[in-house]
Amino acid sequence: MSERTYVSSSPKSAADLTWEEKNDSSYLLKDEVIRELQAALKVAREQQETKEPER
Amino acid sequence: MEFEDSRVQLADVKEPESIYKLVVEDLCGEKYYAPFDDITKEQLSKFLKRVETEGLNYAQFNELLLLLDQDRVTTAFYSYFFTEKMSLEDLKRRIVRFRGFAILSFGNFRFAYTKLSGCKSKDHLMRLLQPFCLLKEDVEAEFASRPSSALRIEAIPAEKTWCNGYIAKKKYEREAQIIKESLKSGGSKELVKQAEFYEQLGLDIKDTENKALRNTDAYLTWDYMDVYVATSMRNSWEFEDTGAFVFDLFHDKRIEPLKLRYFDPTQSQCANRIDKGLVEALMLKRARCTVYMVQETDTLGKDSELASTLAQGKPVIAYVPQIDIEIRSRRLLKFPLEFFKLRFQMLQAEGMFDDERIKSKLAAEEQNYEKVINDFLNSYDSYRKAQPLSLWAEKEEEFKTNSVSFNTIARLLAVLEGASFDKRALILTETHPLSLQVHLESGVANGVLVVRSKEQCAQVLEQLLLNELTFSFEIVQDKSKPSDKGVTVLREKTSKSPFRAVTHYEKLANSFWNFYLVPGI
Repeated sequence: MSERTYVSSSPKSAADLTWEEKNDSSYLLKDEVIRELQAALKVAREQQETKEPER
Repeated sequence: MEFEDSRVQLADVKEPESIYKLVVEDLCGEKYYAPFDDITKEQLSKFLKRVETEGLNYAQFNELLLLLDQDRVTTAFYSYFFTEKMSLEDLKRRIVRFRGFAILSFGNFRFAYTKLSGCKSKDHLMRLLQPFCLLKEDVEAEFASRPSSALRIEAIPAEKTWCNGYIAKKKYEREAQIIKESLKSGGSKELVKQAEFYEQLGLDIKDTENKALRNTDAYLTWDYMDVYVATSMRNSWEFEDTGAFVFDLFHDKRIEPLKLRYFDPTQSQCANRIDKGLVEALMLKRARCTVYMVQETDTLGKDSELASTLAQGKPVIAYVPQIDIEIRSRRLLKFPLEFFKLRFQMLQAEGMFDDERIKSKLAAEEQNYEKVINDFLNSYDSYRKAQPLSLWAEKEEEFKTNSVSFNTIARLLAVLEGASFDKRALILTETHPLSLQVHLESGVANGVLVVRSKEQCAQVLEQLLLNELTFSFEIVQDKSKPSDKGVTVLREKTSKSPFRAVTHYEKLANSFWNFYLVPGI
């Protein structure tokens, strides 16, 4: 395992959690996260529906 | 309970000095006593000749004790440990049995003899030897008579338990946020498909969470609790491994008929960390024993649960998986890619790549194992840059299918995990001083029972609860070191683990019992 330097070559993605986030003391999923996603999804679906007849 | 002691079994009962030591040292636990002189030898020889033909009874047994300057025993004590018309060979076996109960309940032979030999009734004696003195039939009858719980656990399937993990929830929140933001700039079909996946996943997490909250209420109402399962659950794979292990263990044909109630942390949740800590502390207090899962990491929570159980004088069974390369590598193929990166890094930090024996095992799987692993990790890094959503399994599967070395990677990781778990088992059975911890009330040194398979775990759990374990005594001492006075160890047969220990280091033993056996300290 000599060819690799792990510390310098561990790219972070936008989705990676920080240490603080991983050790946050809240245990339950925030309801608003699903609600906001559902709202954004609804808008996106409506946009798609209006686009489709135009084609 | 069965006890074996080859040292005592080898004692020559026709030899007066052997009997002298057997009674004074092994039964009465004396360390400082009068030397075996000619007068004692002559009197004891006469006594033994008579016993050889007639057998030993209660009255003669007490005469023998007085002859050897020891305290007499009560009939309750004699009839529990010995029999009428007992042969000298039988005397040896029964002294071994006494020593077994003494080390289990008192962690000290002298104190056990003093305490038990004066018991006026069988009930009193049995109270002091609980729970080890209970007969298998009585324990089985007690288990069989217990009613079902009023509130049942709503089973969360093993593949869904990870939804209960707080890191999984944080990940979900982060990734759902990324998708939500992406949707603002117009939703492609692919993005809508992803968003729909995350919407459903969010609902699944909520559903799992609500079940787990209700399950906690059920656990809190239960009238009794038998087993606590101690485990780390930060990542999805830990949840799945735990869920599968718990299911297999409690559905084992030996365990299922016992109608055990167990606290399965994969099925429980609380609204905050304080409540979670208190619920787990209560379950630990109520359970008869703990099954501790040795996993990729040993966390503060899990190790505290082990320590708390031992400090309460209750048994801990530690399950350290023995890795079958074929089975494990097939299972690993289903694990998230993130697991591979983390595991290789952890195993490197443990020094697994520096061990010559492990290196040769890896080379047997793949000659260029270093290059294969490094290439895989590099390609995974590139993939993660392009694909930040770790919960979007479709892309992960694509990556795995396109990776030419993924099967080899899984096998190499299984080899490393196998070697790592072997080392962890050795640390628990032979190396770490805190694999035995002290029962805070009695001072008894309480050791972890290490098992290497689910079957072995079920066997030891059944035998433990039914008082059917077999133990052997041994003296562990490095005679090349004059300062090592040795330790008498009671080793459990199936797990080969030290379950109890008594030190021969007199200064320590004396100080120890001065503090442990004085009321008010």
